[in-house]
Formats: sequence, structure tokens, C-alpha cells
Amino acid sequence: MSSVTHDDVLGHGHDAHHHHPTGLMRWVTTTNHKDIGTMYLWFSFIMFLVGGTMAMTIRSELFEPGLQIVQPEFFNSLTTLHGLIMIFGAIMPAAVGFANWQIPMMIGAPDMAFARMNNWSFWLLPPAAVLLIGSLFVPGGGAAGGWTMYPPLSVQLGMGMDMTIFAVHIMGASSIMGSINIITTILNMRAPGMTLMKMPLFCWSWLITAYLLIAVMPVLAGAVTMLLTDRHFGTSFFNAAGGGDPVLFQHVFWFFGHPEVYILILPAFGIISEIIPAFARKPLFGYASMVYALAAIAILSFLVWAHHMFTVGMPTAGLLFFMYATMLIAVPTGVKVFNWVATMWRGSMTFEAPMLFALGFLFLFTIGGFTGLVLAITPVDIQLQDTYYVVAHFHYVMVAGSLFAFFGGTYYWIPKWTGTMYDEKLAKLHFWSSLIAFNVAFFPMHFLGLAGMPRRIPDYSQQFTDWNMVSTVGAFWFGLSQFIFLYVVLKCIAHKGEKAPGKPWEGATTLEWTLPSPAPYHTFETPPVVK
Amino acid sequence: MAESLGTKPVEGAERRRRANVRLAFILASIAATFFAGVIVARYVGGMEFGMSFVGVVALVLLVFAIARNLRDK
Repeated sequence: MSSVTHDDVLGHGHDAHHHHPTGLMRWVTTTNHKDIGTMYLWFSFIMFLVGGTMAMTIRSELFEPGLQIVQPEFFNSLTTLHGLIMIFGAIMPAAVGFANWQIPMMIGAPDMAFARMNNWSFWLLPPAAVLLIGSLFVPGGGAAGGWTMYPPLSVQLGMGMDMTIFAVHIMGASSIMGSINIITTILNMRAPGMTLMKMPLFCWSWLITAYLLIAVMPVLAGAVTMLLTDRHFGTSFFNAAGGGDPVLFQHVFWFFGHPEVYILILPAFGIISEIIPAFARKPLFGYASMVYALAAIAILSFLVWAHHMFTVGMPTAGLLFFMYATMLIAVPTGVKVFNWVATMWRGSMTFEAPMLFALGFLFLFTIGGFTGLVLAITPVDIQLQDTYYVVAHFHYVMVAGSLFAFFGGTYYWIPKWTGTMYDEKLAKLHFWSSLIAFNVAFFPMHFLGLAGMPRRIPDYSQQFTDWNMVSTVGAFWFGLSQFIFLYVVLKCIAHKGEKAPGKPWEGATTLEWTLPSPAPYHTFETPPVVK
Repeated sequence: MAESLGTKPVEGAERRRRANVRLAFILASIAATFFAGVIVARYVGGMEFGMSFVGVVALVLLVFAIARNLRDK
């Protein structure tokens, strides 16, 4: 990527002349991309704590065999809502928060293309969260069929399922509006000279993610709409009793569900692609190939959905196709991992917290990727279907992948957001504590899965006890470690730390680092010149 | 001359706004097609028809997206 300069940084700081509501109304009515980004990030962290609390309850129940803390029905609701909240309430809004804060500043735009729609996209989320969490307290309890909402369970459940369906509709609408905004901003609002192939990789990752969202979110909305009409309006899309096909739901769901995995991980790839060059003090190795790899991953993600359902019964040709197509995704992913490593090769590396999280991501995401390859092999997957091996695999991808990248991204950009450097010692403690605790919590799940322990059960055979105890200890350790992160962030917001310079990272080259820290409320009202 | 210079940024902003709205409508219509398509396809035909419909729309979307990016370059 070529170097960037701009002409008039100081001309962008109009805070002193800008009048906007203060207090609560500022946040309700704001159309500023930075305010909305902040709200997305706080919302996602709160939902992360809510989903995390559910995870702690699940792990407490699984500490030893037998039923100790919760009833099986409530346990099922917890596993269902933990998944939905973490995916739709925590990871996706966090990625949109990063997009809101960073994309306009990285492409030299004054704001998002549709600022009011941006506000609306965010404010749809809290009611959806209330519906999801509130479903636990209605007669019949929350949705309990797993986050995949498979029929026939989802057709038979009580009112909690309806609330979940509406929550998914609302969150889907929010995501689609956000995606339209991001695509329009990137394609139409780039600074003069900022060609697509000069764009920071984080923006590329979000451009492709937004296209994925527009393609698959409506499919999920369609699927849950059919579920709703099956439940209340006498249709039989998925209801076998009326001639419907429950397996069809699985096909439609995973047509959304597999690209969704990449929707969760591609923005993380983008963040890592910004951090590694900055701390290796070298340009990103193979920029163009990184862009094409992102596009290849996105296209392939549409062709592999049935690897989630090898056990439902399909023709051998179908099994082989989906097995090989899934394995094919390792090629562009391998290109990305190779390029990140090649960027570090002979770089002048330093290991501040963002870089540590990037390296942690690289190491652990690769483990998650390899276990994904194991699961891609049809006969192996049939053995491991619905075991804890699958739980271990996707937590290595989602937690050590997306979440570690978001922590790294927060430490990387928080000097720009708050104008204060974070506490490096505490941030490093957060990293090492999270890294070790994460592996203590999730690595034993591979052993449990290989030994045959099924997922989504509140009780288990005695031979699984030891590793479950280890896993529970690790989970609590990991959960508590996140309060270090919260403390570090609050310290920055309270400006308890060293004042951040405009460009705190020597190797950072993207446009936002040409702005003062904290970034003024309005930036790039005069477009910068990109060479 | 002074008048035309004075109106240029406004025209530019208006042109950009129209382009933004046009693109947003295209994207929203794609989303609507997918939403309605997955339901209608199930009504009209069986599983094969439905999945083929969605698959074809996905490919058209990707071709459209790639072609548009190439043209912009």
C-alpha cells in the first residue's frame, strides 16, 4: 500500500464550534460515526458479559457429573442464548463498532454515508437484546433448541421462541442497514487518490464482510419467518406433520450460518492485518494477495454449508463435494497466515499488547483452523458430530480468533479514541492471563470430544469429570481476566495515563494516524490528499 | 464565474448523495430478493429449486460486486 499524506489536519477539528446535545440525548440522537462506534463497542462488551455469565453458569453445572445448579430445560436455554448473544450481540456489534470508528477515518471520509440510518442501526440492537434476554422469563422459558433453532424443537417451543425469532429479525435488519452503510461509505466516500487497492486491509475486510451480510442475513430472516408461520399460521415449511421438511431448515440455516462464520472472522483478519505491519515496522507482505484471499474465502463460504450437516444423510457425491470444498478454504486462509508471518520476517518487531494479541490470534486461530480441517473430513466428522471437539474447534476460531483480534484492535486504536495511552503492564497481564486461561478452558474439550462427550447436555458420564473440572477452572479464569481489560479501558476513558501522541505507533501508516489524539469530533471535512 | 464556483461543491455533494441513495437501493433490493426468494422458492418448488435459486442469486451478486469494483478501478 502506498504511503498517505493529507493537507489540512487542523482544519478538521471543529469541536469548539460544534453544537450537539449533551448527556443522554447526545447518545440517543447522535449521527456521529465515532459516537455510534463507541455505543456499538459498549453494547457488545455488555452483551459479552451477559453471554459470559451464561457460559459461567453452564461451566459451573458441568464442573462435575449430576445436576447441581440448574434444571436441564434451563441449561438448554442457556446454551442457546449464550450462542445467540455472543454471535449477534457481542462479536458482530463489536466488529461494527470498529467499522464505525475506523472506516471513515481510514478512507478520509467525514462520516458514514447514511448517518441517520447509522444511528437507527444501532438503536435497533437494545430492543433485540431485551427480547432475547427477556425470553428467559416468559412462560415456557427461553428458546432451548440450540442457537441453530432447528425444527422440530423450534416449532414446538413456547413464547420464548417467538421472542427469539423477532430478536433475530431485528438484529438482521440492523446488520443489513449497517452493511449498506459500510459498502456505500467505502465505495462512494473515499478521499481523492484512495483507490480500492490503496485502501487499508481493515476496510477491505469490512467491504467483503458487508457483501456477505447482505447476501446471507435475509436468508436467515426468511428461514425464521417460515419458522414463525409454521408455528402460528398453519404453514408446513419445516413441519413434518404437515408434509414439511425439517432438513430444509438446516440447509437454509447453514447457507446463512457458514458465511456467518466468515462475517465474524473477516473483520478480525482486517484488524490483524493492520496491527502486524505496524509492530513489525514493515509494509504488509503481499497486499494484493491478501485482498484476493479475502474475496476467495468469501466466495468459497457460500459453497460449503452442508459440512455442518454431514449426518443428515446426503448422496456420496454431495458428501465429497462439501468435504473438498471445505478443505479448499484452507488455501486462501493459508495465504493469509503465510503473509502475516512473512510480514514479521526480519521486521523490527516489538511486542506491545496489540502485537501480543495479534500473535496469540495467529497461533490459536491456526489451531482452530486445523481442527476445522479435521472436521471437514466426512468420516471423521460423522464420528465427532455434536461432540465437545466441535465446541473446542469453534471456540478456538471465535474466541481466540475474533475476540483476541478485537482486544488487540482496542489496544491498538484506543490512544486515538481517547487521547490516552493504555496501561501497558496491565494490558500485557490481560493478554497472558487470557491466553493461558483460554487454553486451560478450551483445549481439554478436544480430549472430551474425542472421548465421545456430547455437547448441549447438563450431565455426563463419570469418565469425563477430570477434564470438565479443568475446563471450568479455565473458563472462570478467562472470564475474570476480562475485568482487567475493562479496568484498562476505563482508565483510558478517565485519562489516567500518559497523553497519547497523534501517532503512538512508529510503524503505523494509515490515514487515522495523521489526526491528533483523541480524534476530533469531526474529521476530514476537507478531504485529505492521498498519494 | 463566481456563482458557478460557489455552486460546485453543492452540486458535488448532491451528486454524491444521489449516488449513495442509488447504491443503497440496489443493495437493499438484493437483500429483499434473498429474503423473499428463499420463501417463494419453497412455495414454488422443492428443496432443489429453492437452493438453486438462492445459489444463482448469490453468484449473480458476487459477479455484480466484482464487476463493479473492477469498473471503479
